[in-house]
Amino acid sequence: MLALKNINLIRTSAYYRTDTLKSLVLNSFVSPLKSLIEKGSTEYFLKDVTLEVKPGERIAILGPNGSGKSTLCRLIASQLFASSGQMINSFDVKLFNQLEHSFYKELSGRENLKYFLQFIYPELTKTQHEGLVAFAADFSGLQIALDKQLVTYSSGMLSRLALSLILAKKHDLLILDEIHSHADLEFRKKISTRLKDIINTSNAVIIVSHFIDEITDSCERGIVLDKGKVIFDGNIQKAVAAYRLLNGGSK
Amino acid sequence: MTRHLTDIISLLEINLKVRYRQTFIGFLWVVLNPIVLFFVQLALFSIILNRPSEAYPLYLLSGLLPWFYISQTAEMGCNYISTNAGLIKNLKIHPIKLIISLSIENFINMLSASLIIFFFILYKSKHIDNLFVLNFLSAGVYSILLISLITFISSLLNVLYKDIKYILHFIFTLLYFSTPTFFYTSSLPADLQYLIKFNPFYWIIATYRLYTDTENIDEIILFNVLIIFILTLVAVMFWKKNKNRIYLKI
Repeated sequence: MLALKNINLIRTSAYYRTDTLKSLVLNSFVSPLKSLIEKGSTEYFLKDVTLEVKPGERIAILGPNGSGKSTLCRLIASQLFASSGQMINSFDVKLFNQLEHSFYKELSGRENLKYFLQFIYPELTKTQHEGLVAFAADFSGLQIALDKQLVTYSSGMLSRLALSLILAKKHDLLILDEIHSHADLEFRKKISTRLKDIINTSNAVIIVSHFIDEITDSCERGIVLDKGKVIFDGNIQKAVAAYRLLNGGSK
Repeated sequence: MTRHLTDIISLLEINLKVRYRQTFIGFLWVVLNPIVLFFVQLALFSIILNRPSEAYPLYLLSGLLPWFYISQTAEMGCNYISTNAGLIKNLKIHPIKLIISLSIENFINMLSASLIIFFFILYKSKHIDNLFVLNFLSAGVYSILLISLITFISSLLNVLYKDIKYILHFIFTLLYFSTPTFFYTSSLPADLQYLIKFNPFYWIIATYRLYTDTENIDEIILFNVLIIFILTLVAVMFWKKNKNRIYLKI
C-alpha cells in the first residue's frame, strides 16, 4: 500500500540562487546588500497532497502542464523527497517517463533491451534477463531491425521498443508517465491487449497521460492536479469532467 | 556493492561501444588526439626548454597525458548529468555511477594512447622502466577517483548554473600553464616554485612522477590524501543538500 499524507514539496530559493552565474554575478554587483539580506521566493511543486493507493487500483493522474503530475510520480518512485508530510510505501515502484528518449542511439535495439532490462531489474538472474530480452524482442515485432543501430529507427519503432520493454514483465506498482505511443494502429491494438494484461497482473498502476480514451479505458480512479494540489480524487469519468472543466472545456 | 560494480561495468561497456561506433574510425580519433599533442609538444619544448635529455619524453608523457585525461574528463562530464537525465529518471542510476564510468572510459583511452607513446620511447631509448609503468598505473587508479569527484561536483553545479562548463574550460586553460606538465618545476624562479604548490593539480601530476621523485613522496601522498578528503566532503555535502533541487531540474 502507498499512503501520502499532507505532502509538500517546496523549493525555497535564496535571492542569490539564480539559474545562471551571469545573473548571480550581476545581482551581487548591482545590489550586494540586497543579494545577502533579501529573502528568496518559495515555490510549491506539491501542496498538501494526501492520497492512498491500494493493491489492485488503476489510477489516472490528470492535470494541465506544470501541475505537478510528473513530480508526484517521481516522489512516489523515491526520486524526490518531500519537504514535509509523510509517505508510507510498501510497493516496489517502477516509473517510466518517455523511455524512448533515453535509449542509446548508437546501440542496436537488442543491446538497448539487454542493458535497460539489466538496470531495471537488477535482482534477476542472467537467464531471467535473457528470457525478458527474448520476450521483448519477439513482442516488438521489429525482427531484423532489432539488430540495427537505433539511429536507423523511426519514432514508431522506438516507441515499439520502449513499450515492449515496459510490458516484458508485470510490476508491483507501475507508473507510466506520458508514454506516448507513436506506434502504428496494428501495434497499438497489440499493446492495448498486453497493457491490459500487465495492468491486470500488476499490483497497482498509475498512468499519467493527456489521452483521455487511453485513461478511461484502463483506469477506474482519477486524480486531478492543479498547481501542485489535488483538486479531485474519485471516479474516472468525474475526474475527466473535472479536468475538462479545468481546461475550460477544451479537452 | 556488487550491484554498484555491475552497474558501473555495464555503463562502461555501453560508453566504449557508443564512443567507438560514433565515427568510422572511433578508436583512432580518441587515441590520436593525445598522441599528436604529445609529439608536437615534445618537439616544441625540447627546442624551447633546451632539454633534449633522454628522461624528458617520459617526463612529458607522465605530465601531459594525465593532464589531457583530467581536463578532458572534467569538461566532457560537466554536462553529463543533464544529458543523461533520462537514464537517471527511468533506470534509477545514481549520477556518480555515470561519472565514474566516464572517468574509467577516458582512463582506458589515455592508457591506450600512453602505451603507444611508451613503446615509441622504449624503441628509441631501448630501456624498460618497470617502475615508471607501475607508478603510472597506480597513479592512474588514484586519478580516476579524483577526477570522478571533481566531475561529479562540476556536473551537479552545471545542473544548477548553466555557465559552469565555460568557467571550467577557462580554469583548465589557466591551470595548464601553471601545472608542470611540460616544464620542470626546478626551471622556475624560487617564488614561483613555492606558488605553484597551491595548484592542486601540481600534486596530482606529482603522483605520476613518483618514479623519479621519491624524495618528496611523503609530502605528495599527504597533499593528495588531503585533496581527496576535501573533495569527498564537498561532494557528499553538496549532493545531500541539493539532491532534490538537482532532481527537480533534470
